[in-house]
Amino acid sequence: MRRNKVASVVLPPILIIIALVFFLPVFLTIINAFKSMEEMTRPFYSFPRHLAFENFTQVVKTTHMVNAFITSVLVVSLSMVGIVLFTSMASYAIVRHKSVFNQVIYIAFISGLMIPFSVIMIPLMKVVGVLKIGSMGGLIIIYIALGMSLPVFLLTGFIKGSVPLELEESAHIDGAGNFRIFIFIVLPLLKPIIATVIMLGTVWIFNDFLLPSLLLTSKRFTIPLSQYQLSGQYLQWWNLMLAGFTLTLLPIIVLFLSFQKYFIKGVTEGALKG
Amino acid sequence: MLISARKSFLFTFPGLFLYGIFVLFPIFFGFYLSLTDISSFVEKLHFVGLQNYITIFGEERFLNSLRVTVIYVLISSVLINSVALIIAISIDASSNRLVNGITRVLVYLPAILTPIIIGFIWYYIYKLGFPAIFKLLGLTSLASIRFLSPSMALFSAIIATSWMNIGVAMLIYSAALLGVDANLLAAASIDGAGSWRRLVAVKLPLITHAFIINFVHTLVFAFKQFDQIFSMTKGGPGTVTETLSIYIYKVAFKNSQVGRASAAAYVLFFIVMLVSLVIIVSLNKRAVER
Repeated sequence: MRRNKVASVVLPPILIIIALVFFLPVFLTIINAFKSMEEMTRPFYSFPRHLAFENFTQVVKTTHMVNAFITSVLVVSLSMVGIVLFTSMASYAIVRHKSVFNQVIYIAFISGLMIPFSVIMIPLMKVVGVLKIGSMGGLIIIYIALGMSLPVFLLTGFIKGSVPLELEESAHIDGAGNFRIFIFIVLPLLKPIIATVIMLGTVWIFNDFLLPSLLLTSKRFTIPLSQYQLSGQYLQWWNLMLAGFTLTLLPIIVLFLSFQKYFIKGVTEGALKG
Repeated sequence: MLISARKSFLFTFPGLFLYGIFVLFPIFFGFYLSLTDISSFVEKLHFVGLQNYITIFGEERFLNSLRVTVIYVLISSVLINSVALIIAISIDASSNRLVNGITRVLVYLPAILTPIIIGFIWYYIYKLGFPAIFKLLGLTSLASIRFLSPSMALFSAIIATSWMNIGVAMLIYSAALLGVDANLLAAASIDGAGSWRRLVAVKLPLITHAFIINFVHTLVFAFKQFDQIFSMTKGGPGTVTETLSIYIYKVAFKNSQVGRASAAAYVLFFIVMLVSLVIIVSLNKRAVER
């Protein structure tokens, strides 16, 4: 196909400028995280003259960031195991057993996509109070429940489109039960879409602030909570705040850059297939 | 059928059980709570009918948060979608693969960062970053703007939150544009259509599904938005950036007026359901027309 010649000359530099403008906030965060107390009077866009690594050690100590990181990783991984297991089972049954009941379940799961957390926040806290499941265990269970809508949507679509029924039928004739078929035949075929589910779910749970802020006490903070707590004492000392932010954001950014192809594929496929 | 009704129930049960307790039940329970005199101090609930709704609809602060939410949602969705579409079209027209790749990655990057942190970062950018940068560029009139002042804060919040969500919309538009049938474009080309005509007359009409997806995405996102505005402005100064989500949180947990907050939560639920319903109905209508 013919392309516009003017466009192919003019557009790349414009796109690079747009990309840099989008990156600017992250860039400013990183350079200012390295500024010492004395350098805080210099302009926000200037590079630090000396790299103040002590900002990082101080932030890590005051916020117990190591503990927070461990908590976050535990919460994310255990929640994701639950989400992947329960939603793939449910989605499989919803697609393969067509009934009015399953249709209703499907719609119930999907409508969760629309509901803002603020709507259920107050009654949910009442439920948590009655069941006495505060702290980390409760947090994980609630994440599993709240995180099922999008996976059910993606998985049912994927099973309908890309899991061949013949394979399951022949295994059925060979005498394999439903659970065996699900675990040994269906689950391995779901790998690509499960990867997408895990990526999207991990980003959401790792970054979420409101739910853990309602459930956790200061002994067990997740990363977003530890960073929020930082603002209580250091809002004026933005070099320290930004040092904490840099430590938090860098692993996410590195992870994203190394998997960016899959991320971008996952996001667009998930959306466009719906 | 391959799976019996009993087995199907066993497969769906664990997920449905948790979803029922922690999502479905709270939705109905929340409505009940909004009809009671619930507060953090009262143990026993009394049924008060629509009293909480009458109270909030006579309250300036709630009406303000409704107004803020509507403005925020409308401007955000238009802004996110137009910028995302422009970038996606530019990527589509530019043949430099390296540049296209870098742009995609850097524009999408903000979407995966921690919103509560992003709020603080933008707080510093508005307070310290923009004034310094505009001064450097010689734009003194821009440098003197106070971005977090009452007249500017909502606009600034919209910019900061849109920055995070343009990437997702851009990727979806970009993928949709790539998916347009090359034969149709070649045919239009032969008929004498220039690149601009091809874009307006062929490509854009063929990606309507991407428009619909993105508008649903951005609307739902905007109604859900909490963390970033919360850490950037806490709903202030005063209440100029207090969206419904922030109103519900503050009224319930800071002012302990849980009844009012529950009623406000149900108003939010009603609005979101109404908007979704309108979108779904119009979607079905489109499908029929096709």
